[in-house]
Amino acid sequence: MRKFWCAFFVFWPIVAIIYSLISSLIPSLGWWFPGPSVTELGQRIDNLFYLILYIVTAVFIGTQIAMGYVLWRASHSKDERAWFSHGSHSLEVIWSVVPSVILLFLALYQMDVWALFRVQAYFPKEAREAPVAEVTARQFEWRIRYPAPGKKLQLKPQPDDLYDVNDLHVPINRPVMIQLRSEDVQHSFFLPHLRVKQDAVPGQIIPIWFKAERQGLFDLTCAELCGWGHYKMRAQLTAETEVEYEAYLKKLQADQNYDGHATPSAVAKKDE
Amino acid sequence: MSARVWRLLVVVLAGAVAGCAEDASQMRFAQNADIAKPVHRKARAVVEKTLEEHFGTPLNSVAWLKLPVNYGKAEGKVKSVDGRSVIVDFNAETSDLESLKSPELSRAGLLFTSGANQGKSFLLASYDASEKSFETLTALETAPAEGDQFVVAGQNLRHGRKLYARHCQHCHGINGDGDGTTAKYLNPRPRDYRLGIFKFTSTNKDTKASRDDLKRIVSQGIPGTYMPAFVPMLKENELAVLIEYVRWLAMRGELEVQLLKDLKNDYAADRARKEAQETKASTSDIEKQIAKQLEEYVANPTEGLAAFIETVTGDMVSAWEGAETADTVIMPPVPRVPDTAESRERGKALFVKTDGGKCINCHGPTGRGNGFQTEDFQKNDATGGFYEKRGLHDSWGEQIKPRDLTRGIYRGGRRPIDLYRRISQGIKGTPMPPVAATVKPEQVWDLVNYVLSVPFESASPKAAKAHSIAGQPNELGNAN
Amino acid sequence: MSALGVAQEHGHEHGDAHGAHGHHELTFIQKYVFSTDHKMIGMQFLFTTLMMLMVGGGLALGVRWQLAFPWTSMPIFGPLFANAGGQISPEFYTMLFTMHATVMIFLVIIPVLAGAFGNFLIPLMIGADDMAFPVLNMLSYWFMIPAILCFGMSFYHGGAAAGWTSYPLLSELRVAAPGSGSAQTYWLLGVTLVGVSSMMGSVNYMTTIINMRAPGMTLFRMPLTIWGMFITAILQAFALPVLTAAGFMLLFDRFAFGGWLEGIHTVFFTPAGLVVNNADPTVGGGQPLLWQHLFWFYSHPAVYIMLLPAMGMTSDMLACMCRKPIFGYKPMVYSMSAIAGLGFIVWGHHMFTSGMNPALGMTFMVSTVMIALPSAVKVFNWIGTIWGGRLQFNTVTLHCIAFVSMFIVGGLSGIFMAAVPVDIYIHDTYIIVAHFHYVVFGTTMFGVFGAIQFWFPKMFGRKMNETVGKWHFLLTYIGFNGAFFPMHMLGIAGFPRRYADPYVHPYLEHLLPLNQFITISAMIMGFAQFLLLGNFVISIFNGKKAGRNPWNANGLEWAAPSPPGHGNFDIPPVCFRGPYEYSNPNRADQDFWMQTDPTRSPKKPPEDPAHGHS
Repeated sequence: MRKFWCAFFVFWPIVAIIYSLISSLIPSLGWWFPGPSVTELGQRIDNLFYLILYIVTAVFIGTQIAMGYVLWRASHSKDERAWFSHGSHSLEVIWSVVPSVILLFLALYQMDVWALFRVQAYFPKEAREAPVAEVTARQFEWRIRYPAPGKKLQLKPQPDDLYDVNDLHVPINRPVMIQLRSEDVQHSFFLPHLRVKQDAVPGQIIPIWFKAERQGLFDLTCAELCGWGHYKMRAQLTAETEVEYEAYLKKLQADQNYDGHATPSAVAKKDE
Repeated sequence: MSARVWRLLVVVLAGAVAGCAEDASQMRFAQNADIAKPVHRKARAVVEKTLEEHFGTPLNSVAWLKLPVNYGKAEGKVKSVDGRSVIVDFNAETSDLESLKSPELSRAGLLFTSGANQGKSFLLASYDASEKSFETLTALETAPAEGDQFVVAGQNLRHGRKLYARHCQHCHGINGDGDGTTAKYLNPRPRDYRLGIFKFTSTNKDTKASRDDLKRIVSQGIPGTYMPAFVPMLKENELAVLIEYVRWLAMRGELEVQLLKDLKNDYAADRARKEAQETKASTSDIEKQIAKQLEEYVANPTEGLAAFIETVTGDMVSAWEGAETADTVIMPPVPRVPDTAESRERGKALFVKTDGGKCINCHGPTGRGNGFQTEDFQKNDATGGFYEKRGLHDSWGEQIKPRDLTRGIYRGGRRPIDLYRRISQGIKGTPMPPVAATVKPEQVWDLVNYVLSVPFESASPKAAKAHSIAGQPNELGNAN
Repeated sequence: MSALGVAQEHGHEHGDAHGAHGHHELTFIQKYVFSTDHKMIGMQFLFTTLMMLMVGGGLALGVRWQLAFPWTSMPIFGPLFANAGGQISPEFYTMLFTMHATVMIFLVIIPVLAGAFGNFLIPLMIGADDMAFPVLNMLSYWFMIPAILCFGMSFYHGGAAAGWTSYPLLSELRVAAPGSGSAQTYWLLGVTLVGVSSMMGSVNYMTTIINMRAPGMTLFRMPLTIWGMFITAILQAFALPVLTAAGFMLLFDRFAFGGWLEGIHTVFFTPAGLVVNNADPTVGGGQPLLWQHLFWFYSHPAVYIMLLPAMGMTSDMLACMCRKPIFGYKPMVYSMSAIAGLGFIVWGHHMFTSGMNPALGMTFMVSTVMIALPSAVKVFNWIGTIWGGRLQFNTVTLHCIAFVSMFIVGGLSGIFMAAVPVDIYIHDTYIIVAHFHYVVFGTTMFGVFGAIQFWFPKMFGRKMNETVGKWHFLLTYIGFNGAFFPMHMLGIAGFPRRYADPYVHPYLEHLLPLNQFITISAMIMGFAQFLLLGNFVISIFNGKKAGRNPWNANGLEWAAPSPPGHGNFDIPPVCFRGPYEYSNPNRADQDFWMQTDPTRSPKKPPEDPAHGHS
């Protein structure tokens, strides 16, 4: 039985590591990040993740090997008696100082990514000066308000604002900022492919910026419990070229002003 | 003792867990008590049986080909058989159902047209158009061979039901009575389809909602309510089948409501008790008499149940079909009047005029939704009496508030044409009346222009307050 | 000291192992129901929490069922939804996970550690005859009952469904969510009552540990269990009032009172002008984030309340099972204290994405990362304790090793969420769920399972069945890792928490099979707990008889009869040395040296074991 239990406690860490390796090395399984980040900042977040992962894995393997070794030794001890020891002062010092240096390094190393992500003074100037949209979370959808083409987004809704729901369009290759707010309870604006997450707090307007570097449709979900329909808050981020983006706004504008006579857009046609 | 006791315990526990996994409950379209309660239980049973005959149960629905529902039809060849699951190749899907007007198929779903199973029809347990496979509910006695031809009908209904069960059912209820488990927490309550009325449509006041109207509501949601936007959750084809299912449920509900209403006249729930009091006859005799009378009614081919169903469905079919024709869709005869200050002024004048649009009566002088009608007792057209509570009521008997126009929330859509349609044709099932008879199209546009400007009027401080946050500059961005 | 005095007074009556009577006869009610005896109160807590463990587990399996087989008829809960063909409603799902967390945290983990083991062990291990305030102690148990009733009432009203964190406005506006009506009110009352119970315990533990130690039991001769309990009691005393206050603030926000309270309708957490569910617009000027600060100011220390006693107990068990002194006694005490101290300044790491001032994110990141340090020191010391020991794999050992092993996983995954930028992505995903289950279940519950088996002979004078115990361990361990390790991967894939149907999102669709695997593992784990329960109940009556010191352990509790009678000790205990003198070469005849053992060593024994011989 001694051998079995020693093997048992060594077996699980090995399974865990193999499983993690499989997950991270075979992306087609989908047990890892949902694809490489669409933003550069997101890639830096991923890199930080991997940095921590490497350190943590090393510690994990080290402690588990140590654990397996001491277990084997202790359970197969031929000695009459256990080693009578109350500890070792120098060991304590070593294993206090070394981790603290590593941990402190980790903490300080993360600072600038966080500042770039969240501290407004570090936001790219062009994004900060012209937010592209206001995203209002409500139970259980995302209502989006764009300024009319050529205008700036205002705090209060304007008569010529453009509205859409569950579909946030942004141009690629330039930093964009959106204003996030909530109409009722707390929500969280989560773009997994862009590694962006920010809670929408009722009564607050919170700016978020990101710079999509790839065209495509990306999931936008809610990551803070907001009621029974929490899971229903599925929306998408449409990252598209500047030209497509302009065209989208134009189309939205035409659709929103549709009176049955004006040049019907594609959406308007469907309505017939 | 211990070893044996332990072993026994393990066996018992394992049995308990395995027993739990069985699915005991059977999905059914239950009659909602609100309409069924006043009807005699035997008559209720007749309605239930009739509806099951024509519509089936949720898991085993019947494609009643009489109804204008696109049930979907696909033909194909068997490619291979993998246990219960049959892998197939489909020809193009069509909506042409004329060739399928056989009662077996509408109920069964699958009919083999060649091979060993030729002429036999089967119920489908699962059908997956994208995976190109299906499973039959009962095992096939003889396995189909490669190349066997078949047709599938009603897959839209089945696919639609799956989507409905996942996304809609917990609010709108299994039978579309707007009384799902979540419904009681919602204000306003989810739509009850059984009246066949949908509020926000593009069609004129006398017709049903069109497919496009339903699709627009499902995909865009209804702002200001708990109806969320289902774009991009539902793809275009999913929306289409879901809407077919909703329409089918609405038609089912309409027939159910009509039948129960009709039977209530002769077979009220308390009939036996009342008659027993009046005639001093024994209740059981009267019950027997009721049963006999019902039997006759069901059997009578010319004036009985069948004829009634014929009439009701006939009207229903033409109403739903009518909604799909282009001439029922409201298109303003003139383009929008330019949105100028003068136009808004004219609109406002109309809005507050008590003999014109009469908007002010409900929506109030500043559009806050506090007109005097909201303080009055209103007449109930269904009963002829008055509602118990003050204020306006809709066709479902729910108390409703006229829209507060200052909030800038437009449930039926914020496009000028949406507002035009609502003002000119009214909102179905609500006291919002059509004004087309008394107000000229240009004037409707003036009203639209005014209504769209209400949230921005500085004269409504409350609206301004609701939209701004203290201490925030009006100009967004550049904040530090 | 009173402890000594009372023990002497009762001493002569407690000769036999069953001597449960004092000099005055106690009625059944006095003895088993409204008992003021710390051991009986501890066992009452233990029975209650084991029952609640099964309730909480059932709720968890409900959650798992929905995630593995969404919208299919749920066993047990399904019949509640017979009208919907057994298909649960989404608000029921939100209720399930809310109440799962509530039951597990407030009715299982906290009371099983502080309530059950704290009560049972503290007087025995420090050599006292009872708690300092026996009546207060009794009340601390009996305040749990109304708390449980309140949670029951919450269930009856549909169940609170705003998450165990109950963030306003969801939990505040009655129309905001199906569970936010009376269910939320009862929930808040329940939490408040649990708080009252914990506070009574906390005051009692502190007083008892400070004032009632046996002669010779200096602070640094206390077993680590007592240190864990002591620090926990301090944590509770300082953190709980904040939660209680926040709870009352939320209650006052929720109600518009009448009568003499007319006009009291606060808006601590309510911003102005929100229209929820078409109710009237809110009035206010409050800030929802305030709740998060107050809540986590309690609830982060609460995480350590859920951990420190288990750490202490495991240290004691591990040393005994390895027949070896604990490695680095004082560093263990200091790191526990450091965890407790740092635990008060890390609450903000739950709020990195909440929209609080980003500068706070940085400071909280530093403090959070640093709290990993004392945790690491403890792990190294546990491994050091095993190092060179003579180990026997009995059930207790297995649970202790699992405790350390799982704590390594749980602790290491914590570093990811301590790092703010990484937390942006993983916040509120399943990696968080994996992390805290590794800590509170993997670590604490394994510690508790071990402790049940270890101190069972002291509680009932009998041993639990080893074979069943090992099967229970094996199945729990396999089920646990099968259920929670893959959740890390779910989290990295961006799988958010609290989704009734995650598969409506395209990037999560493919995770259904993995979730089914997790659910099956969770079922195995759930099933295994019946073994524990069965073993526990049957062993009370049928277990092998155990003497006073079946494990050859050193602590004072092993000098008392099994089970100890009223007043605990038949011979007034005097403490001569630290609790970890296993395999001391100065004691040739046996490999343990009880704290009460007056035998002098031939050579000069180490006066203070904590100094070690480094």
